[in-house]
Amino acid sequence: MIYLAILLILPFSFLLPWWGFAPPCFLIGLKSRSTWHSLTVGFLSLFVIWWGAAYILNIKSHGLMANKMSVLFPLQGSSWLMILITALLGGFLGALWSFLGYLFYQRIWKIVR
Amino acid sequence: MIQKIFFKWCPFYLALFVILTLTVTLSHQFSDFPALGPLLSPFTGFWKNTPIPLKHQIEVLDWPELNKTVTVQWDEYGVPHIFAKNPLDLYRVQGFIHARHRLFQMEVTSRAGEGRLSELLGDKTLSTDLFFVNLGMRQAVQNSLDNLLADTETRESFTAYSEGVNRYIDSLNSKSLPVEYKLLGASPKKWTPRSSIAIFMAMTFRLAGRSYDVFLTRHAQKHGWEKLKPLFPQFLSDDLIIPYPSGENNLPKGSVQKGFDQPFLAKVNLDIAEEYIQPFATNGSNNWAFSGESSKDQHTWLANDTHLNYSLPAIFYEQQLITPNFNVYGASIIGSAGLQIGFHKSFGWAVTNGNSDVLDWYEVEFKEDFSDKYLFDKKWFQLEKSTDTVSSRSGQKVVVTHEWGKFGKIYRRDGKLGLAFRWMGHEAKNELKTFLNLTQAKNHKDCLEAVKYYHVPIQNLICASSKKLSIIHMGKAPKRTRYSGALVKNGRQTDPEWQELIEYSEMPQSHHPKQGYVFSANQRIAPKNYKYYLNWDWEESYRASQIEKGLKSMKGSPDFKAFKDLQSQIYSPHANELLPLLLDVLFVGDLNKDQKQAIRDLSTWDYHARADDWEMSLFYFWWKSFEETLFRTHFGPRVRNAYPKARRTVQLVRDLLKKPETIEPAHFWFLKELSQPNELKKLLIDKVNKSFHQAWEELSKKNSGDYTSWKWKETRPTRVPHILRILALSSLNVPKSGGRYTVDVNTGSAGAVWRQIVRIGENFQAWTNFPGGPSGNPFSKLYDSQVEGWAENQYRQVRFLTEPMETQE
Repeated sequence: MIYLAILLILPFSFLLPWWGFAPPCFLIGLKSRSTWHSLTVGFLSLFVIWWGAAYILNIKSHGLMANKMSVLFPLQGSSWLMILITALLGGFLGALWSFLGYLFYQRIWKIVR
Repeated sequence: MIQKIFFKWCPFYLALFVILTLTVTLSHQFSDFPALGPLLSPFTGFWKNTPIPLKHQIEVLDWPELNKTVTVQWDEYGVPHIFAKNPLDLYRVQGFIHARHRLFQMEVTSRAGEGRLSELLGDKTLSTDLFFVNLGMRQAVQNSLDNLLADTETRESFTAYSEGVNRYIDSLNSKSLPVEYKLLGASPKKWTPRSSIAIFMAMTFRLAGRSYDVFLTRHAQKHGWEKLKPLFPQFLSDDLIIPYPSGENNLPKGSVQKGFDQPFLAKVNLDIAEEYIQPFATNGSNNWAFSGESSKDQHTWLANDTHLNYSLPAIFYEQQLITPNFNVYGASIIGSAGLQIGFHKSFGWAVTNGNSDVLDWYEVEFKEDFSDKYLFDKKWFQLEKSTDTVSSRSGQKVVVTHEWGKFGKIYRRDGKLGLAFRWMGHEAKNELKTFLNLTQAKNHKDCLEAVKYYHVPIQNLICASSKKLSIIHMGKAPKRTRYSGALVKNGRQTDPEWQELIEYSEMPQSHHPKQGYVFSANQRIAPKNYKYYLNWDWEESYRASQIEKGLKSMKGSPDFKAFKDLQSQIYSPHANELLPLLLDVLFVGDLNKDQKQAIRDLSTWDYHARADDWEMSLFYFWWKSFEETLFRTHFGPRVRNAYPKARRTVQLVRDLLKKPETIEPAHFWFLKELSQPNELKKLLIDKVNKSFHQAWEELSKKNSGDYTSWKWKETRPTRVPHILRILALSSLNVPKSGGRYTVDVNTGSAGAVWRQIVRIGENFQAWTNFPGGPSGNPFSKLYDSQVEGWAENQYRQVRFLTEPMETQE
């Protein structure tokens, strides 16, 4: 499920503005088995994607990016914390949108049909 | 049934509402707090600002707007070498490259010049904007723009440059915007020739907008001019006598030495110290050159280091510009086509700030408190009015009313009186044409020709070819035949000292001097017998004298090492003049063991302001505290207030301590009025001692450890700050040596922002260094790659190309 989610989220993220993850997460939520399941899948897939992307981009800038921004935020110059916070924000939002999808399926889709 | 469905659906709508609100909130910028969602997302946010790796690369550009293909070769330092078939294509690509590296910096600098920062940055820059708008910067920019557009060459070149910048702006989207725009949640403004002019006008203010007049007049209102005269003399007796080494040119002679005895004393309220933004006193520079005619290796050696406040991205951008007709290497102020400083095999030019007085203040009189009528030559005239609006991103708008009269522009009104000013910045010509022509100059003759379009800011321009050498006080200054303009003048009548401007042929200059060298360091530029009065407020010749000594000691064989050592000289003649005098009268009995040891060590100091040593720290804090002890009571705190020149203070101290019998007691009124020399001497010695203990205490408080740990780089750290003062994007605690009066000027916040040494002739070579790098992207290694090397005086030999290289590695 997570692999599928990641595959679905990536193209949306590249094409749409920053909230591009929201529609695919919503779709994933539709197919979730439970509240807990929808939250975990949403969280994990976006956490992994944002972590990975931030990590790769940071390496491309020789680590300067996360380092300087972590001073600005301020996170005392800890690159890892900067990446973690990015990933946590992503995961948090991913979980919420996936949960919303689940809720929609359970509470509206099923009944309307 | 409906009720049932409603309760079933309710949780979803509730969740939808909460989650949507959260997502939208994260997309929104709250004044200074950035929109976290788009900023942190690795698909749109700052993570996307990975630097473009532009090293060892060739780019071939064939945009539709180019007449011919343009090739850009990037060398190992990230310096672009632009090969174009014609100048307009060249400037198009130059604009594009500047923007790609420095767009945000360009926009901020340009906005600053026109008082439009707040439109981008919000209320916190409103007061700065209001100040510059009130100075009439928008009118000054408009005047310069009219001149630039009236000339085909500058119009076409700067239009092409703007096209290049806009090509880059058009290529951006919310993901590829420079990171500062993302932090601000803003997007870039289209570039026009006006934007370029605004940057140049901001520079004009930094170099030619400094004025002591108001502060000095305020002192005079309080203490009377008679008392100020000895403290603020027209000539400093220890300064260089022959400021420009004499050459073939005969300067018009006359006598303006005599100062005004009974000056006009303005009554208007001059309490503007807090709002009046003064350019850095150290905005100056050094340049010197040794002629190929006199040097043993038969090459002309040319050096230039320009002093401005440090900033990241760097103020200057390094590049080489090549067309079939010219091939030139050097630096440009960002936002401008062509180069401001440059060189090639057979020619080079170098600039320092001229410092002639081109800003005068006037007291004017109105018929009534809010009247539009002002008195001029015994008649009433109507003020001309216009308005400008300063707007902030917050929505706040402030309307500024401009009032102009025959005297110039009103700065502020005070009942029936007003304070007005006249500034050459409003009368600029087509200065950027001068720099375009210098960029394309082949030889010494082209250089002398290029000078003609130039008014302001006045520069000491060195034109150097392998055989010919000149230095020119380039620009236009009022033709003052007497000492005038040190105080606020009477604006109720025609100002006889600002009617005409000095012709180019009569401006100070020296061609092919027999000494074989020329130099300038913002010192007094004309000898005492020069026909016109230019200014009293010159930089003391501490630097200039050291440079002249250095050039003489080369004995006709200049080389890279000698030039480099001179450019990075950190010996302080000021400390050498003053410290022995102070140490001599320090009561040893009052000192503790540590202090005694420190004084013994200090007396063997070689007066070099080394970053890792403590001596300069102790001297500097002592000097600062000593100066305040002497003048604070009468002239207020040091910040933005006119104190006597450091060198004048040293002279007064020396006279009183060493030959008290020769002094004029009235000159020392700031110690005590109507006193005998011996009493004055005692008072001064008291102040020397008091200030020593104050300085010691200040340093002890700031630093743990004994005095040997008071490293100069720590007690007065050198910072190269980001243009918006964002600390995370700044270079802090740079281990840079040097002080305020050393050849290698370093005040901690200002100093050499571009250094070059060039060997012109057959075996042409050039070296540069500067605090910064090519890139404006804070995440790029090339953003501040050269700060360290700059601090350690490591010079890079430049790659001067005649054709694109093969791609290496």
